[in-house]
This record gives sequence, C-alpha cells and structure tokens, in this order.
Amino acid sequence: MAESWMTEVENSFSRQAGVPRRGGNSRNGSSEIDPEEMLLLAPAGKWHAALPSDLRDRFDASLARAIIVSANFELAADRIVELARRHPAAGVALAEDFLLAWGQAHNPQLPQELRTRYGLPEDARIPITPVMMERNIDSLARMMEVFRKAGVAPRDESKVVNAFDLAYSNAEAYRDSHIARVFGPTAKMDEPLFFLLAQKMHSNLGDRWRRTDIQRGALTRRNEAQTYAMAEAGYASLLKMIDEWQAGRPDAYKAILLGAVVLSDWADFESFQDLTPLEPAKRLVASKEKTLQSQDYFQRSAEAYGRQVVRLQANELTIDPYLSWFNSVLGIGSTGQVNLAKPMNRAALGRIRAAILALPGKLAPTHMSQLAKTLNARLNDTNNPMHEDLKYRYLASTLVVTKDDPFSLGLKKRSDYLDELLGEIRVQTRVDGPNTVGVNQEFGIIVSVLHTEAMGRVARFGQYLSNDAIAVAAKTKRRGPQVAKGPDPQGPRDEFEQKLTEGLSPFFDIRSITFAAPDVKPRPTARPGWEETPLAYVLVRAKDASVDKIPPVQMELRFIDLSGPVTIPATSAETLLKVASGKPTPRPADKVEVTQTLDTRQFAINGSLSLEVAASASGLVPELDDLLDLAPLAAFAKVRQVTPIDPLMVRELNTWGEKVAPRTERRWSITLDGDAIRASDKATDVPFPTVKAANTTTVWRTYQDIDPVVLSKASVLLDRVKVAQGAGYVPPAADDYSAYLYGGLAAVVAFVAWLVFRKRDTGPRPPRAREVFKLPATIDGFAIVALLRKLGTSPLVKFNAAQKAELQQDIDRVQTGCFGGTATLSPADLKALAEKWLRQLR
Amino acid sequence: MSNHPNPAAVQAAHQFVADVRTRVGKVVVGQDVVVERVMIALLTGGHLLLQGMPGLAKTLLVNTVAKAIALDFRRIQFTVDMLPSDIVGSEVVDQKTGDFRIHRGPVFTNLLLADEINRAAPKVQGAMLEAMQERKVTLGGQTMRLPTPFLVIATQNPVEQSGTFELPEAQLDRFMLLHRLGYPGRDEEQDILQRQLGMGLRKEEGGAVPKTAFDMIDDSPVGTKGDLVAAMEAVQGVHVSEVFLRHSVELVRRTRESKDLDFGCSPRAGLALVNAARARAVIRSRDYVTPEDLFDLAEDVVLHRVRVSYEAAAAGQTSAKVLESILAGLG
Repeated sequence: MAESWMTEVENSFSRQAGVPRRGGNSRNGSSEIDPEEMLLLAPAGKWHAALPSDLRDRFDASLARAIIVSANFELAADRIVELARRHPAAGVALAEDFLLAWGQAHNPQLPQELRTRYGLPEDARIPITPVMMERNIDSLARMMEVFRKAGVAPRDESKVVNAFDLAYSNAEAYRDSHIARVFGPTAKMDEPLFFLLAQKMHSNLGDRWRRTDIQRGALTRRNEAQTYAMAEAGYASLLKMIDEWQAGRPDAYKAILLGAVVLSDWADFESFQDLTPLEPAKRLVASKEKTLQSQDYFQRSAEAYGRQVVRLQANELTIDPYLSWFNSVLGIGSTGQVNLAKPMNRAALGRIRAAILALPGKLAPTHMSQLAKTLNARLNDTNNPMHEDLKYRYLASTLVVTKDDPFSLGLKKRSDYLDELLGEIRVQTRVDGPNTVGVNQEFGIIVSVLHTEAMGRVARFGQYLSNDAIAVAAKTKRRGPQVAKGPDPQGPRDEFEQKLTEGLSPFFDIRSITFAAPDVKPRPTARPGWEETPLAYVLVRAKDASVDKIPPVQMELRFIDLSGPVTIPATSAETLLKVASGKPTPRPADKVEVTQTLDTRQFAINGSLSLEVAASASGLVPELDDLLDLAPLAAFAKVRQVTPIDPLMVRELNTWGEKVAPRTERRWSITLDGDAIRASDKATDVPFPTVKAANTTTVWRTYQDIDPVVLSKASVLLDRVKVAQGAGYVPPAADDYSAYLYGGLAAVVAFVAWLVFRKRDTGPRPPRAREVFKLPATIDGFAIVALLRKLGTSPLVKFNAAQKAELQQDIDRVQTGCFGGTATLSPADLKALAEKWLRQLR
Repeated sequence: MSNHPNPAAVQAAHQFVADVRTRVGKVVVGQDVVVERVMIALLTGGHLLLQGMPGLAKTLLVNTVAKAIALDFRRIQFTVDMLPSDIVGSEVVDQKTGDFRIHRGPVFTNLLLADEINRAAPKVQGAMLEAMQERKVTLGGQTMRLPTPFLVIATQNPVEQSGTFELPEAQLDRFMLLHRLGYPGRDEEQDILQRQLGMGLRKEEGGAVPKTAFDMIDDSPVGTKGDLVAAMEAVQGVHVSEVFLRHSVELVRRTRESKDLDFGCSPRAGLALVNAARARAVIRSRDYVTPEDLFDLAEDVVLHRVRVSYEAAAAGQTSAKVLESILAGLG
C-alpha cells in the first residue's frame, strides 16, 4: 500500500511539476489524485514506524514531493532538510526540484492554455505588485537560508537565479538588498552563481529594464525619465557587484572583463537612449566617461589573464579578453548592436596588441593567430555579413592589432587594395576666396574630391549628391546587425550632409549647404592625371575669432570588393583660416547684376518711396554698402530704413565655368522719405544709387500700375502732382482745386469766343474715296484682290448692288486667274481691272 | 508651287466636308465658321483652340463631327486639381499579379476635346501640349504613339475670368488656329429655342428626362477615316502660288516689325497660314489658294501669336486693329 501511495505521488508530481519521472509505472488514462487527499492518505504514526528503513527513506522523498505539489512549501522545506540529514545527495536534488516547482508556481506569465483560450499575446503576464514581489523574495530568501544552513543549497544555481528572476517583477531592476537576502553577500558568492546572476542582470539591462512598454504592462506608472533612472541605477548596481566580487580575486579576469563589457554597453546606452532628452554635450560626456572606464577594465582584464595564463590548461586558453576589447573599440555591443559613429581608435588597438604580445613565450603568437583567425572569419562570414559601413574599420583595426600574423595575410591584401583606392582620392576643403575672413562675414567653403582620372570614372562621385531611393532601400536590406546610430539618413546625400554638419558645426554657423548636380563633371587640375570634382559649397560664418582652421571633414566612399559593398572613410586635411576683426575685404564676386526698382505708387498718397534692390552674382553678392552708393538718392529722399528681404542665398553651384563658384542672390528694400520732393515746386529728377562694385550690370525699373517697366536712364522724374512720362501717372493731390478753376474759366472763354466768331460750316471735309484708294505700287494678283476687297468693304465707297456683284465677280476672276495653276491674267490686265474700279470712285 | 492638284479628289473632299457640315447642321444651329475651322484642323492635322463663353455648343459640335466621321472621341474637363497622369495615363499595380501595367489616358484617341484648358495648372497644360507636339507619350519607360488622326480641340474661357491659368505664348503657338466664338445671331438663337421646344422627352427606366441636342446626334457616320485620309491627300495637292507665299511671308514679317507689337509671329504662323488656306480652298471646292483664304484665316492664325505693346494698348490699340492695319497695307 505504501508503494502504491508513493507511485501515485510520483505521477502527480511529474505531471504538475514538469519533472521527468524517476521510475515507477505510469497510470495511463487516469487523472491524478488531489494532493491534499494524498496527504491525508499518507502513511503516518504506527504505519510509518512499521515501514522498513529503505522504504521509509523513499517514503520521505515521496512525501516531500507530495507536499511540493500541494503548495505547502514551508512544510516541504522542513521535510527536505530532514531527509538531507540521512541522504545528502537526495536532499540536494529535492531542493532543486522544489525550487523549480516554486519558480513555476510564481511564474507570472500566463499558461499557454489560458493565452490561447482568451486570445492573449505571448508575453501576457500577471503584474507583480511591489507587495507580491517582497513576499516572493522573502519566501525565497527564507527557503535559501534554510537550504544553506542544512547544506542542501542547490548545486545547479541557474535554478536559483531563475527562481529569483521569476519572483521579481519584470519591470524592476534587482535591488542590492534583495540580492543579498537571497544569495548572500556578493563577495562570498561562488563563481558560477556570481556570473549567472551578473549575466542575468546584464541581459536585463540591455532589454527589459530600459523598455517603457514593460513598465506599462507591469502597471508601474514609471515615466521615461524614471525608467532611465532605474536603468542607470541597475548599471551602477551591477558594476558595484562586479567590483565587490572581484575585489578579493585580483586575477578573476572574467569578472573584470564582464565589468568592461557592462561599461561599454552602458556608454552606448548613454549615447543612444531615447528615454529622456539629454543635451548632446551631456550625452557625449556621459558616454565618453563610461567608454574610458571600460577601456581601463579591458586593460586590467587582459593583464589579469596574462598573469594566470601560464597556469591554464590548453582548453582553458581563450582570446575573450582581447576579442571583447576589440569589439568594444569598434562599437560592437555585446547584444550585436553596432555603433557606427565610433571612429577608429588606433591607440586602444595598439594597447590590445601590446597586451597580447606581453603574454609569455609562445602564448603570444598563439593568441595572436587565434585572434587573427577569428577576426578573419568574421569578416568573411557570408551567412551573417558585416555591415558595409563597418567593414573597412574592422579590417583596418584587425591589421593594427594582428599586423604581420600569418592569418592576416589575406586581410592585408584586401586592406592594400582598399588603401590603394584611397591613395587615388583626397577629400579637400578650401576657402572660396582669401583665407582671411571677417568675424561676422559669411564666406564659402568648397568641398571637393581630388582624384585620378581613372578613379573619377570608377567612383562615380555624383552618387553622393542625390538621395537615390533604390540605393537606400538596397542598403537597408543589406544591413545585418541592428545599427544604434539614431535616425537613419535618407540617402547618400543626406549622409554626406550630416558628415559636413558634424565636422563643421563646432566651429562655424552653417548657413546653407548647396550640392553640385549629380551629373557633375570633373575639372582638370595642375597635377597631370588628376582631376577635381566639386561636391558642395558650404556657406558659413565663423563662430568667433578663435577659429583658425577648417577641421577635417569625413566622407564615406562606397566601393565593392570581393566580399561585397564596403564603405571607406576619407578625411580631408585641416585648412588654415584666419578670422580678423575690423572691416573685412569683400568676398570675390563676378558678373554682378543689380536690378533697382523704384516704387512710386504710394508717392502721391503719402510721399513714400521704396527702392527694391535685387542682386545676383557669380560668387557671393557683396553687402549693400559695398554694392551701391546710396548718396545720390539720399540727397533727394532721405533713407528711412534698409531691410534685407532675402539674405545671401546660394541658388546653385557652378561647376562648369572658368572656376567653381556659387550663383548667389540677395534682396533689400530701402524705404525712403519723399516729402522733400513733394514739397518742391518743380519736378525732381530722382537718381538711382550708383554701383560701386566693378564688373556690374545694372537695370533700373519703376512701376506703371502693377507692371514693372525698365527705364532707359538711371533716374525717375517725380513731382507732387504728376509723374512724368516713363514713370506712370500720379493723380493730382486731392486738395489742389486751382487747376479746375483756371481750366473752367478757360473753357468758358473759349466757348464764348466760338459763339462769336464761329463760321457757318461743318468743319473739315471728310476724305473722299478717290483720294484714299490708289493703284498699288506693285501690281500682282494679291495686291489687286486686296484693293478690290477694300473697295467692297470701305464705308467711303458707295456701290449699288449690281456694282457689288460685279466687284465680287472680278475678285473671283483675279483669284482664279492669278492663283490657279495657270496664270491667265497679266500685270497689264490686273492694272486695267484696278483702274476700272478706281475710276468709279467719287 | 505644287503639288499636284487633283480636281476630282478636291471635289470628293469638298463633298465629304459638305456632308459632315450637313450632319452637324442638323444638331448645331449656326457656328458655320467654327465647323469650317474644325474641318480645317482635321484636314491639316493642326490643333484648334476655341475661345468663347460657355454654352456655345462647342462640345456638341465636336462630338457631332467625331461621330459623323466615326472617329474615336474623348472629352476631358480640365480642372485646377488635375495631374498630368490624368491626361496621358500612368502605371498602375495589378492587384492580382503585383506587376505594373500601363493605363492609357484619354489622350489616346482620335479627337480629343480639352475643355477649359486654361483651368488646369501649367504642369498639366504642359503635359497636354507636349503630347500634341510630339504625338507620342512615354509611360513606364515605354514610348507609345498616339493614334492617327490625332487632333486636339481645346476650349478656353476668356482670360478675364478668375481661376484660370493663361496659356503662355510659346504654348499658344502650338495651336494652328485660335477661333473666337461669338454668340449666335438673333435668328439663330430663336432657331435654337424653336428646336428645343420640339425635342420632347427621353423615357427610360421608368423615368424621363428632357431631350437635348446631344440626343439628336446621329450615330451613323457620313464618312469614314478613309474618306478623311483622302480629303487630307486632296489638301496636300492644292496649288499655292509664289505670290501667295510671298504675301504670307510678308504678313508674318510685318507682325515682327510692327512698333505696336511686343513680338510678332514665328515661322510656324506662316506654315499654319499656308496649310489652313489649302484646307479652306478644298472646303470651297478649289484646288488653289487665294488671297481670300489668307484674309479670312489671318485673324485665327495670327492674333494668338502676337502681343500688343503696353504703349499701344494704352493708346487704345488692340491686336485685331494692328492686324487690320497690317492687312490693309499688304498688297
């Protein structure tokens, strides 16, 4: 009976706890007996005492299991401890099973059956409130304390860690106090437990502890800023735990390495997190601080490994300290995210190399070769191809570390090929005009690429001047690891613009960036075989007088090698610049065109005059003071205000002319006071301002009604009553009645005179038909038909119906005779016909 | 110069045109000149622009002509929100196959009535006019020729009305003729009303609507495309004398030299004048052109190709008056 009871318990336990059965027969097709009932039926008292000793032990184990599935954990723990006194190994196994069952019982994730039944998502969970969490932790802590005291702490510590993780809310970072309660002091944790727990925390920090959707699902009401603060606290807590554990173990290179990786990931988190808005400067500082710290940890990890490497067995040798360090320097995170914004850090790479070479004896070349093989394999991995923007940096960095290791020979060839390509290209920035500029003066920086003729055909630099949607889509498709770089640029031109902005904005206020047309043609240079392809014109102003150079600007050039697309960064050299105070020299400008339009339409109403000046030039349009001399105009109409309508604007970059120059425009409106002109007794010839800049074409205009009209001279005649011809009519002032008075008097006098002295005739004689219509100078069919038609339609000619009919007949005859295929009427005939009709005129 | 006049062909063409005019006359009251201009455009392959107020039977007339010659006819009402693809067509995704297929626009027809072309945005006008010029359309990388014959009859309201985009001179030049429609005469207007009174109802589907002139259009053609082609060949054979050519050139040149005009006609005007004169000659059963043809067509050929200068306009001159004075001095 006791055997049957134990078998039933085993069945119930296997089904409920999900543990593979350790023997016994299964009972097919029967449901298990309720655990509570099992307990009631358990052997006890005399029955228990009557059991043989071997059966008693098995009974105890089954009873413990029965208690596990009945969920009376307190009782189960005591039973397990009791059993462990007699069978230590069994006690440990039971403790592990107990933890597993406990974990599943506290798993907040809803069972599959329920999720399916109610159509819930895969990650549907029961929110764990803080009170529940405390209770869970408390319960787990007590159990672990009991187990430790009894010496039955689970050997498979992953079960403890999992149970701890399940007891914790998904949305909460582990607290130090909870860790200490469940696992004991950090410094005393054994190695497997420490790494299990630390890696669990590291994994959670990279995922759920920074996600706001997890917070919402757990109903914590934490906002983004609070989530960020929790993640920060989590990183700090993890790092502290690593430091504490490692403090007593100076050669624990794995722990130091973990700390380095955590710091590196923390640096990336600071750089790219979007939980809370941070000023870019603060973000950069926080990221850089963590990066430097991580580099220090990597160095220490490598040194710690180096100290103990001689004691390690062959299967314990590893390149992890150097590989993780290398990945961190390149911005490859532990979760596979790539920070493409990280520049190449030769110093750090050099330290990695030095650390490997510092290994004793043959261990150095062994490790170096292993690293070279691993890096080479990663570069050549076609199943998980490397991001094209990372390839060149990865390749170059590998060679910095591994240099002439035999396993790097293949990479060396690839690198040489790419370096050769770069050797035929140079990105260049130069100032448009003199290198000395004014403090507040706008000037242009021409960004171009110098290259060999062959490279110009291969590289197709025009591709960087447009956002080709197909290329962007193809590149997006090619991307392997997720890129943590911020918003994706739209295409090659946007990326180029971003690089220009990043490079120049610390020193210059960028007004505009104007790109050359995508079909830009290269221009010859003084160096034989080399050409220049202008790419962009950047209109800038120096931020202050301390700016003394144009910093390097990076451009990412796309090529193809045997592994597929690869992006190679090319950087320009610094260009010297001088920012001087005082009045600056105007920037170079050629073919300046100035259109001056004087608007006099409001002049009669309120005396206001305005002059619009529109200028364009090849080069930068000068300032108004350098363009025009307003004095001639100001002598007649005071200048009230000068208002820039359009600032200096670059319309296009001329890359095909004699020199590379922008086509720029700007406009001003000058408000003038015309009262002095209105007050004058006579008309005033108001001159336009004169041009100062050499090589300038000027057009003068004014308005007639709503249309601007071009003037033939550089002045406009204005008076207070009427504007003279060429400038539009201005009605007389409303209060001037004298003209009407005098005009009326004159009209009366003229009428009276007419009445007195008029002759009795009907006025001038109207013209007569015979005086108007003459024989055409050239006699041909056309001229005669034209004449006859006029005679037929002119009001001066009075023909009767018969004459009109005959006239039409003659017209038809002439048309037939002169315009049909054969000419039947000679000029003499035509002349006679015409004279016939002219004679009939009166 | 000719060309080889063929009196028989001319006579046949004259009869063909007369039949069409008769058929149109049954539906449209008056507008004889407009009908003649439409036929001139058909016979020469030149495009026609009709300018006039709404309600002058432009659509009815063109529809009737198209049906009389069994030509494919489409009408596009231009609006301000149109896109070029509404004219020429576009590529559409076939939902079943996922491939792109070409959807031809209404421009793929023989006779296209572009109603109120000056209501569409310049971009749409440009697409239309480009198709007129090149007689082909590119869609999805494929170049497709437009059908033959292909004739565009565009209409526009007088530009004084708001909400319109005036066709620029360069594009107006593409129209062989611009004819300005006037209102019908008193008798004609009375005739229109009289006809309407006698039309009655059209009963269908249990209801009824009053009949309109469109219901009067006889669907059976009076001629075929072949007749039209033969008429076009007859036009090509019409004799044009040296004198006529000389005076046509003189007319065009004088528009350029006139001080009252900002700019005169391009050589296209001379070509239009000669071709239109040939067609008019055939319509009048002649196998040669006469000055009458030039004088009659001068306005429709020249006026939309010139612009009066500001000074002349201020002095009360109009382009019609300037042309009149040029014609008076011709010969």
